[in-house]
Amino acid sequence: MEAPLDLEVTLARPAAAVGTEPDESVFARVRLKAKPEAAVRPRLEICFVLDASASMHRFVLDPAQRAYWQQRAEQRGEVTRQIADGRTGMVWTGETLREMQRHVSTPMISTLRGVWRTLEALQPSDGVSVLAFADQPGVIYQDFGVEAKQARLHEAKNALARLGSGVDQSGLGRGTRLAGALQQALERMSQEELVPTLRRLILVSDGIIEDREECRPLLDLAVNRGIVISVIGVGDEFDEEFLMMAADLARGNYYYAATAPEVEQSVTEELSVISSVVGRQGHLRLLPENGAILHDVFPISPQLSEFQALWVEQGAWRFRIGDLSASQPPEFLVELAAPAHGAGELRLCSVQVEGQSASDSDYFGASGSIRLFYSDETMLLQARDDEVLDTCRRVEIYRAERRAAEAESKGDVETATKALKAATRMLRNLGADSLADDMDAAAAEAETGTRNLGRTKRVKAGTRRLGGKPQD
Amino acid sequence: MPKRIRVGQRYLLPPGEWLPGKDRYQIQSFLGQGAFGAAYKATDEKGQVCFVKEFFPAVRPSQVPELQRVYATERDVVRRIGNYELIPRFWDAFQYEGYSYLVTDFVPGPDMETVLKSGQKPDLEVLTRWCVCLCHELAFLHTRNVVHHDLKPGNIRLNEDNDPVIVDFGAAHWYRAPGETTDQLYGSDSYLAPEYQERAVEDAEAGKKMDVFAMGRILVELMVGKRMAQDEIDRKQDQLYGEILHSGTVDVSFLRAVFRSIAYDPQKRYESGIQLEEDITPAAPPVGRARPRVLDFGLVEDASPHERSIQCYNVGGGTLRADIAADGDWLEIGTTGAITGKSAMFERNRQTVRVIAYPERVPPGAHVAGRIVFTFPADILEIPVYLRRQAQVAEVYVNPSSLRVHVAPGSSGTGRLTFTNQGGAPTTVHLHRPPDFVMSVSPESFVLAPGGKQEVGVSIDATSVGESEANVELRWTVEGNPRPNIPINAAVRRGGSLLTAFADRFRKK
Repeated sequence: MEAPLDLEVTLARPAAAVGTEPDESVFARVRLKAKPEAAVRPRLEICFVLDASASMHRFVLDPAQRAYWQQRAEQRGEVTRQIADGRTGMVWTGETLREMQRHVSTPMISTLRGVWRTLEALQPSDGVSVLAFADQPGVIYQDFGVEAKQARLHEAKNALARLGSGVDQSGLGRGTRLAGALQQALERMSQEELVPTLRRLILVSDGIIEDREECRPLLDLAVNRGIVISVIGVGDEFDEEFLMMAADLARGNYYYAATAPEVEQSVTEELSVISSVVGRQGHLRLLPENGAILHDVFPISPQLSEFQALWVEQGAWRFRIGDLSASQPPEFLVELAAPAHGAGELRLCSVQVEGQSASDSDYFGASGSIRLFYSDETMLLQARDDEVLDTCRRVEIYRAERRAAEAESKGDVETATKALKAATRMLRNLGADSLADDMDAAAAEAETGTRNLGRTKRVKAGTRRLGGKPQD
Repeated sequence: MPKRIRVGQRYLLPPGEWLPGKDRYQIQSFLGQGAFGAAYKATDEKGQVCFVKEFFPAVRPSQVPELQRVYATERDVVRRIGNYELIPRFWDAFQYEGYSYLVTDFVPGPDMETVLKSGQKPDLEVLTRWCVCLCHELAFLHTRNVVHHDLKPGNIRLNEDNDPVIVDFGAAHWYRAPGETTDQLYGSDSYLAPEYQERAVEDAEAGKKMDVFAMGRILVELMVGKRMAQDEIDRKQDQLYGEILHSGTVDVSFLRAVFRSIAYDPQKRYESGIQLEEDITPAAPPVGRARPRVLDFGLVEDASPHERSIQCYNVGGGTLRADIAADGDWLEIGTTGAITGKSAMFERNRQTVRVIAYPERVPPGAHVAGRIVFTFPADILEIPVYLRRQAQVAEVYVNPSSLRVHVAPGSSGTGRLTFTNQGGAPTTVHLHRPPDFVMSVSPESFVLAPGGKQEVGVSIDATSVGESEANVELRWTVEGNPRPNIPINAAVRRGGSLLTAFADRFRKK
């Protein structure tokens, strides 16, 4: 069948000197340009897995709001301090609580608003489930398709009220144990499809996942079943490395929602991605040729990220790239080492994108190649594509940030600081001053052993966003 | 299709993945990675634990030949020395998709660096054994003309017996020919011989002396009980000698040998680990070891004798003597020639002990355990031995699997079934006539010996068949267990010949 997308390959530097092995890596941007006419909205199976720990029910206030409500509550004697999820929080009661519920949202309320918007936007034939987890998992709502949308909304409203009423009403406990909910989510999502179906899992969490070791095999299972997992980290104290890993592994999106209303925005954004799909369960296959060596491949758009897994077959690297959306056409940066060669063009790598059609069960494929021109002409050797070079710099910043995170996890403060400072310099050169300021401050904090959790999350999320630029 | 997962900046093999290109080794865990490769713990198809070193592909095309050379060098070295118990034994080597693999024994550790840093000083017996063991190993390497080049506590790991084992032969060189030199010189600070700086190339003689120096440094650190910087040992050499000597914990000749190995002047140093071993080992008592630690003959199908071997070796000084006893009626042992019995002895530092199991002495279906007991001068070692004898079962077949019986009108017809037992045990067969059909079966029950045959006659009277034909099934059981019924078709033979037709007509009249 005709591919619903075109594959465009652009080299940062299209030429290399004749007869010598290029000193620098060859960078090629692979852009998948979706054909708008091929975009459809297939049947959807969506599963929300919501953190229902105590902190999700906590009001997230900025300092000014906090001061205002605290003063008001203290005057009325309607506030006490309590420890939830290992953190000290305020417990609001009485009239103050009722007023706050009218004016300020909790992450859970915002999440449920997002879920509600999704339910409203779903087709009757879509399937939806809402699971929650704290100390234990629970199925809040599920259907495998309904006759009429109103029936779904009516039932779901009653079911979701259980989560919206507070931590004690959910009956799931106060911890953050995800594995049970993931297991239940996988059981609920179909393994065989009668009609083309998108299977999406949206995980919302604001805490440190207590059972991440048990979650990894379940995430692998989800990937094997073609389930795309997007994650939304809420607040400042969630496990961003775990959530990023989950999203990167299952080729979903990672959202950082610093405040409660941003959760709703993230869910809405995710919904828009799903509504214009050109291909499902895509794979990117790269086969180095003529002595070239493949170093790495980075997803650039919609977010700068890294592949968590690859499969090797007959010398080719194969990556899962998930569902292909016209609203988020994917881009990748391929890094290769080229061999020495005589004058003329040399094919370094063949590139192939394969997947299933969004509208039926047919498979499609689009292919291209990375070719380097060997020449002695100065003009050619100086040729460059500024946009791809710019992408290379952004990837370099991302890699520096990843190096810093890895070093920090091992307690290697020196390497972490060095990497963050290098990233800061590169960000300043790019003109991304706001992120550079945060990165600079993060470097200083790493050096002194202090840590601003909110800043760390901003830096990581901001770095990932460096890749997401609108296409031509 | 092999899967790889991201670990830092690399894609590595995840636990559970089968080693690509071989499918014999399954990754259990990732142990660590360096610039040129990664290390894994794996198991083979029998569940035996092994160590897998994965060499990464070249980063640049021009590096491919050099990396191939590095891999081939280490592979050849490990092959050359890979049949000695105190060195990781060679299992396998292969290449796939740009990656190269080397599979050897897994040495669980910890490494000596960790031991020294822990500050826990072993007792004198253990310390002496460690030193002697290391000297045995170095002597072994040097007898094979292999120079390690990177001896240091981090490259010494403790095995299951708490014996130190030299690992990582990535920098080692095998001197294949007299006069051969190499410019591939390596070494780690604190363990580098002073002459290292002055050399651009090295021959076997120089290499061995530098290994001796590094080993001497390690032995000093073991005796002192901590890691020491090179200049600290240099400055305090005399003081250290005095301190260790006056502590009275080690033999003077032993200590003298250790300090001779770290002599600055190569001429005053031992020429190789072989000489060092000769001077060190007399000070220590023999300590016996045996491998494998468990001997399992597994499931044995036939009754013929099965043989395995146990390797005994001395990790201490002097000469090892052992009395060996086989405990188990079905077990015998032997050390030399074809003579086997219930006991044996040897007086050597390396001895292969043959262990012969006689399944004929084990009842079919039994699971037996025995042991081989080694009585060494200082201790007793028991190696458990297991064997499972396959239960013998009967396998009864019938031929033909369905029967057609021609019955003459007014008379009867017969057919024959042959039952054979192709199994290893005798059994009883019962045939059950259909209750509502007149037929005779003879014999109706019988015992079938292994390899035995029994013919069974089936006779059907015409009155049972009626006008045309009858279909029935003969039920049969083996030791009470039902087997597929035998379909029997009985048909009255009519008009088969002119004579029969006349007979029929005559009978009707």
